[in-house]
Amino acid sequence: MSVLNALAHKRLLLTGASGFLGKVWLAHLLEQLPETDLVLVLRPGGGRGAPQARAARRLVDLLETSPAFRGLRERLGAEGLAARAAARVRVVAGDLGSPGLGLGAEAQEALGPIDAVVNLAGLTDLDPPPREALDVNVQGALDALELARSHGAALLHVSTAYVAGHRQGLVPELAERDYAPCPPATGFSARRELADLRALLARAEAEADDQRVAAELEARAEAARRRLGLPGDAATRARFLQTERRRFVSERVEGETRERARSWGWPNLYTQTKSLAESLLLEEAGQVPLAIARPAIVESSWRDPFPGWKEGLHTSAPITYALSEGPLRALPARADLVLDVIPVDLVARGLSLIAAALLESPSSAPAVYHLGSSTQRPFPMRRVIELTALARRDREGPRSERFGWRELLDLDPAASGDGLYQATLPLWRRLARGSEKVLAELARGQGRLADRAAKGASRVGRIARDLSAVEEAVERFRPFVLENACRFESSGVQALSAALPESERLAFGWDLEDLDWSPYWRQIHIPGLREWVYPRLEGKRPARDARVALSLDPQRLCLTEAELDRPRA
Amino acid sequence: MPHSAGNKPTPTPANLGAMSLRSAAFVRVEGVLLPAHTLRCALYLGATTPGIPERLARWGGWLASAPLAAGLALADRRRLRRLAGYHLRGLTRDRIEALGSEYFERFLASELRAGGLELLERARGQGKTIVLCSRGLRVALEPLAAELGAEHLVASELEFRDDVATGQIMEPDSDWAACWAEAAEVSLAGSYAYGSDLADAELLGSVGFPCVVDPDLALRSRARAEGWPVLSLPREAAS
Repeated sequence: MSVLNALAHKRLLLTGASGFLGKVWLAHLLEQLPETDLVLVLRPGGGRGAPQARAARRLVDLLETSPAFRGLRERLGAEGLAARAAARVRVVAGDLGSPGLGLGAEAQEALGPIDAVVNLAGLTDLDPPPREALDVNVQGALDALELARSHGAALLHVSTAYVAGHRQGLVPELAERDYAPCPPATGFSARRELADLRALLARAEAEADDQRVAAELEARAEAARRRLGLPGDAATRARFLQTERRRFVSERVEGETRERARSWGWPNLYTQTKSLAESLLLEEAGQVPLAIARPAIVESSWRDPFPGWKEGLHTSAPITYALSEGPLRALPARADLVLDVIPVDLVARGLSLIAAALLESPSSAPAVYHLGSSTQRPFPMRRVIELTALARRDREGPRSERFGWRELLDLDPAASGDGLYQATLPLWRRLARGSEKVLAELARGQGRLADRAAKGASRVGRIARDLSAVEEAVERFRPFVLENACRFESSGVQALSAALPESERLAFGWDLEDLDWSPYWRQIHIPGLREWVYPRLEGKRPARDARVALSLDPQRLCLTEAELDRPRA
Repeated sequence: MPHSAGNKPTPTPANLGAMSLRSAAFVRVEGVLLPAHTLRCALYLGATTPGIPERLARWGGWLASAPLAAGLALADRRRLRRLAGYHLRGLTRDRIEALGSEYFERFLASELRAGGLELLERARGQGKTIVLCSRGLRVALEPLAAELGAEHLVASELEFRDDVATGQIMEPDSDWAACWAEAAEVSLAGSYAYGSDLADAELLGSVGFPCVVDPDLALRSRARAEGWPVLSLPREAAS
C-alpha cells in the first residue's frame, strides 16, 4: 500500500489540529504529502474580525511560532511553507465543545467535498472537567461522525489505548459496542451511561443556577477579576462568571464521576469518555467507513519536528518531574509492568498509514489500531524509573573525583511497594502540614520568635503544597504504573508498514524496532521535558521559538467558492 | 601457533620491521595502564544503588563480606572479582553501563599511567593492532578503549537476565588470545604482549614478543626463567 498514492488528491478534514499530536501530524502531512488537501476545524483566536478570519490567523500564528513547524520552516523556508499552506490548507472556524463541531448547517455545506474526517480533538487531562469531557470527547466524536456521513466521507477517530481500563495481559485490536472493563451482570449500556452522566451534570448545573449559589459565584468571579486588575465590562465579567460556574459544577460532580468511572473499571473520566465515544461510534457508524486509532501514552518526539519536543502536562511528565527534579524517591509501581509510551512522531506516521488504509480499502467493518510500544518494544516500569534516575545524574553533570558521604545519602528513585511509599512522601507531607500548623500557632504571638515562626510556616506550607501536588500525580498515575498490567497488540500498524513500498519506508514506516529506550529517554525525552514542559510545572513559561514571519495572508486560508465547487479526484 | 616460548627477543623497532604479517599489541590494562580497579568499580556501582531498602541491603552485604574480601585480596584475586560481581546482582544493565562509564570518567581517566600510554603509542607507531585486555568490567573500560583508540577490548562480562545482572562475572578463557588471533587473522608470532601478573603468563608465552611490566613476584620469577624482558615504568599518571 502506497500512502502517497492513497492520499494524493484527497481532502482530509481534521479536528484538533492545534493540539500536541495534531500539530505534529499536520507538519508531517504538509511535508510528506504535498498533494493532500487539508481542511482544519480550528477555534477562532482572539482579537477582532469574523470568526473565520480569526481561525485562519490562529493557524498562521502556529505556523510562524510553534516548535512543531520548526523543521518545516527550516526545510521549506518561510516562503516555501507559506506557499505549501496556501496551496493545501483551508481553515474553518469551529468549536469541538459546541453542537455540530460549532459549524452551522451552512458552514458544513460550504466545506465542499471531503474524503475523510479525522477526529483528533479531545481533552487529554486524566481528570477533565466533566461537562467539557462529555461535550468534546463524546459528543464531539458523534458530531464528527455525522459530518463524515453527510459528506459521504470516512471517519478516522483518534481514541486512546487505555479505553481498555483495568485489564491484564494482551489487549487485542478490537472494539466492542457497550464496552466496560467491569460490566454489571445485567450488561452495560454506553448510551444509558452517557444519559446518566448528563443527568448528573444537569443536576449540578441546576444547583449552580440557584439564586443564592449564583450570587456567591458572581461575588467570587468579581473578586477574581479584581485580583487580576481586569476591566469590568460585561464580556469580561461574563467570562469570569462562566469560569466560576464551571468550577462549581466540576467540584460538585468530579468525585462522583471519578468513582463512577472506577466502578465500571476505567481509571478515570478521560478513558471512560473516550470509551463511551468508541461504543457510540460503533453503534451509529452504519455505512460510514470507520477506523479507530488508539495511541498509548504519547510522549516527546523521537526525530520530528526535532528530537525531544513535547507540549502539555497530561502524560508522564508530572511523575518524571517528581522523580528527576522533585522529592519522589519511592514510586509505588510494579517493576515488571510495561508502560506503553510512544513518541508523538511515530503516532503521526501511524495515523498517515491508517488514513491511507481507510481510504484505499474502505470497509463497513470498523478497523482498530493500537499505536503503542508494549508488545513490540516493551518498556517496563523498572526501566522507566531507572532511566529517569540516570537522566537526573546526566543533568547534574560531571561529579568531583572524591566520593563523599553526601553522595552515599543521595538516593536515586526506585519502584517500591505501596507500604514504603506511604512511609515516605505522604508521611513527609503530613509532617509538613503538622509543622505548618504548629508554626502558625507560634506566629500568633509577638516578637522575633513569632516573626520567624511566620516565615517558617510559610516555607513549610509551600513544601506541604508541593508534596500534595506530587501525591496527587502519583494517585492519578497509580492505575497505569501499579494496577493495569496489560500490553496492547499493535500488529495492525506493523502490517500496514510492512506493506509500504521501499521508497516510502523512510517517510511513513513504523520503525519502532529502531528505537532504543535508553538514549531516547535519557538524551531526548527527559531533556525535552526540561525545556518544554517542566517550566510550566514550575509556573514558568517554557522556551519559545522566535517568530518567523510568513508572507501568508490569513484570507488565503479561507475556503473560496471555486474550491468548494472543485470535483473530487 | 606457538603456545609457549623460550628465550624471545625484546620487541625493538629493528626486529619489528622484519615482521610482514598483521600483528597486534596486547596490553594488560591492570598494572600497565591502570591500577587494579574491579573491586572499587563494583563498590561504586553498589554504593549508588537506587531505592532505600536496596541500598541498605547492598551496604550491609558489603560490610558482611569485607573480611572475606580482605582475605581474597591477598590469596585469590579471581575469587575476589567473583565476589565483586556477586555484589552487583540485581542492578540493571542501564545503570551498570551508565555508572561504569561515569566511574571511568570520574576516577580512572586521571589514573592512566604515562609510561603505559607511551608503550601503547610506540606499538601503534609500529602498525600494531591495539588489543586492551583486562579482567575488569567491560562497562568501565569501554570508554578507555574509545579514548585510547584501541581496536579491541577483551574484558570480563557481567551476565544479565532480562537486563538485570545475575552477579556472575564471565572472565575471558585462559586461551582467549589464541582463539582471538585465529578469528582476527593475526599472527601471534609477530605480536607484542605486555603483562603484569602471573595470570598473563599464558598470553606472554603465546606471542613472539612478550614483555613484563612491573610484575608481581610470581611473574617476575617466571619471566626470569623464560627470559622475558622486564620493564619498570614510572607510576605517575599521565597529565
